Formats: sequence, C-alpha cells, structure tokens
Amino acid sequence: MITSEVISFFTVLIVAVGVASIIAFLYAMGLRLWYQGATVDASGSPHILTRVGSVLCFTACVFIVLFALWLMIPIFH
Amino acid sequence: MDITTLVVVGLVIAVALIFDFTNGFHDTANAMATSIATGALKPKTAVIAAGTLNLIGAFLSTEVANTISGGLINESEVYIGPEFIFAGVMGAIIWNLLTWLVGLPSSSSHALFGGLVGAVIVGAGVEGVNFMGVLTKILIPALVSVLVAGLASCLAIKVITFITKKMNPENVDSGFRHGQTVTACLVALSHGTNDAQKTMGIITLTLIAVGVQPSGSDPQLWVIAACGFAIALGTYMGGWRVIRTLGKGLTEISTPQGFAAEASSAATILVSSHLGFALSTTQVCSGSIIGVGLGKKGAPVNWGVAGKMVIAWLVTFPAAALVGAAACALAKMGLPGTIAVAVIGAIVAFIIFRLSRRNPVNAMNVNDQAEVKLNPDDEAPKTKPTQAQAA
Repeated sequence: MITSEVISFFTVLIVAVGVASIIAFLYAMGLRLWYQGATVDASGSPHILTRVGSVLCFTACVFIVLFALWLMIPIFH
Repeated sequence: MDITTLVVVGLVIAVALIFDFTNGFHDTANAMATSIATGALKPKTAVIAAGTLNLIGAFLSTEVANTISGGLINESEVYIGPEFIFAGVMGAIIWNLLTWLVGLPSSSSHALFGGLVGAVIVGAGVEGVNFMGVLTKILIPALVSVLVAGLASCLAIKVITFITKKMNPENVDSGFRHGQTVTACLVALSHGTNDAQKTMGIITLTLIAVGVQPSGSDPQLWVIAACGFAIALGTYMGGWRVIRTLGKGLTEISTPQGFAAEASSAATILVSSHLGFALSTTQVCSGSIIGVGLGKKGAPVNWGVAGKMVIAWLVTFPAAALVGAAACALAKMGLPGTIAVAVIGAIVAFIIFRLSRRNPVNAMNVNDQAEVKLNPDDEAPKTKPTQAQAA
C-alpha cells in the first residue's frame, strides 16, 4: 500500500511539474513572439512567422484550458 | 420521524450550510489572492467572479462521495448518528473561523474530517477511525503538497523569467495579467466542482440515514441549490484576512509570478485528483506561492508566515478533532446537549467575529499590509521621529 502511494506521489510530482512548465513555456513564448512580431523588418513588413508562432502557442494554451475544463466537469466523461 | 430526530436533522442541515459558507470564504484566497495582490483583478470583481464560478461548479458536478468522511471513518462498522455529524461539523466551523481570524489558510476538508473523526472517537470509540487513512490522506499530503506545487511553480517562474527577460516589462505585466485571470478562474471553478459536494454529501447521507431519502439516491435539487448558494455567498463575502496573508504575506508577487502560481496550482490540483493522490487545494495554492517566491530573485519568502501556515496545516486535523470530540461529548446527552452545542458554537462564532472587528480587513485595505494582526496598534511599526524631524 505504501509502495503504491509512493509511486502515485512521484507520478503526480513529475506530471504536475511537467504540465506547469509546459503551460509557462507556451504562454511566455506566445507573448514574446507576439511582441517580436509587432516590429517591422528592413523591408517594412511585419514578422509574419513570429506572429504565427505566437498564435500557435496561445492556441495550445486554449486547448490545455479546454482539457482542464473537460477533466473538471464529470458530465463530459 | 420523532421530534428529536427532526430537530437534530434540522441542526445538521443548518450547520452543514454554515460550514459550506465558511468553506467558501476561507477558500476565496486560493483562487483570487494573487490576482488581487498584483492588481490583475479588482478585489470586488475577483470575489464576484470566484463566487459565480463556485455556484456554477456546484451545479456542474453533483457526484457526491459515498462516505461522509472520505474513508477516514469505518462507517460500515460503527453507527454515526446525526448528532455525531452535527458535532463534527461544528468542530470544523469553529476551526475555520479561528484560522480566518488570524489570517491563516488551512484546509476546510481537513477541518471537516478532523471534526468528524473527533466526534466519532467520543461517540463510537477509537475502532471507528481508520488511522492509516488519516496518515496517508491527511498528514502526508499536507507535507508533500508544498513540495509538489512549490517545485512546479518554482520551475514555471524560472521558465517565464528566462523567456521574457529581454521583453518590455510593461508588455510582460499586461500579458500575464490576462493569463492570470484565466488560471485564477480555473482554480475557482475547480473549487466549486469539489467542495460544495462535501456538504451535499453530508446532507444527503443524513437524509438517507433517517429514511427521508432512498439509499444510494442522488442529492435533491434543493440540497444542490442550497449548498451551491452557501459556498458562493461565502466566496463572495471574501475571507479578506486569508487573502491578505496569501497575496501579500508570503512573498511580493508580480503578474508573471501570479500566473505561474495559479497555473501550477490548477495543474497540480487536476493532476493529483486524477492520478490518485488527492492534495488539498489550500495547501497546493499556498505551496505554489512559496514556489514562485523561491524561483525569482528579489522576491524573498517570509519564512515566519510560511512556517506558521505549515504548523496550522498539521494542527488543523487534531484541533478540529478536539473541538468535534468536545461537542460530541455534549451532544451525546440527547436533545438538550445538542442544543447546548449549537448555542455554545454560536457564542464562540460571535466572539471571533467581534475580535475580527478590532482590526477589520476588507476589500478596501486588503493590500495595505502584509500580515493580519488582531490589534490595529500592532499593524505598522511605530518609528520615533528623528532629531531633525523633531526640530
């Protein structure tokens, strides 16, 4: 019983730390790329690629929030 | 149903709803303290959002537990009468009010289970308690929650600091403010889908025990609505004393730190509840705030406050158990004893409320100080005027 508790503890520790770091990375990267994309390059056009990268990061964040809602609300599963 | 049972069941429902109210106002801080401290949300807006999400959460999830005590009491082996439940819940309410008075975040679930265990020990004997369950579900999680949530938020803020170090601080501040609002709302909704169900479970299982409701049936609509509104009202009232301690007392929080703390709390709560190692929301949220203090330079953790908080977590279960046991000793004497417990409980609650009025903490002054003091004279250190000022 104690062994299974220890295994659950380490599973929770690793997954929680991993998920929190991924959310932090995605949101911070989304912000950084968004503001980088606001500047214009030498030809006068905005950095489309950085903007796209930013939108992808924020989209991933939205999916994580939706997954969290799915986990929270029993009617969905 | 005879008149004595009717009165006792009425008292159980009343104290269960009062407990739900204290649960709400004690736990507003978990979701909203960092958002209020960083200014991401105005204090009143934050408590309205948290209250609404708690109410929605109560209706979204009505899967109440099969046991009142979460497996800490051998409910199939000992008889748990409504008067024991009444005494146990009373113990939890008194402990919640005391910790609110001194501004310490403590787990309402641990207080509830502690009160019930104390009442059962006096009412039915030690054999009614599953002590292994107390160790693995209460004491160990109280210690490891800081470790898990603290490590998660510490790494999260380090990742954020590394990625945003070359960004304009104003952009960082406003960007994380939006993110923090979303993560805080997730924590509030998660609270609503979990905590109101404990009270729904107590009322439903009591109604089943006295034969008003068939065994194994779901909570009735009025029970769901009453519990949802009680926890939402409690959340809206805002336990400003606990909000001050969590938002200002542990460490100075910036918006990226607030985001890291709330995101780590939400992740840890959901991961722990779905992977079989349930952790208390209060302890997870407090651990996350300590973690972001450790993970960022220039934001030292106030270890004095953190130490008091951890002691409160460890003491919560036995302290609520003591109050529950004392209340049960009285309640066992029959209806007069049960009514005496209700009267004494009301007097203690009134005294605690009066003490809190000496130095009230509210939406207007919640961010003014870092610590909650009982006397206003203790608030700010008095400095003697220097000779130059005196001259």
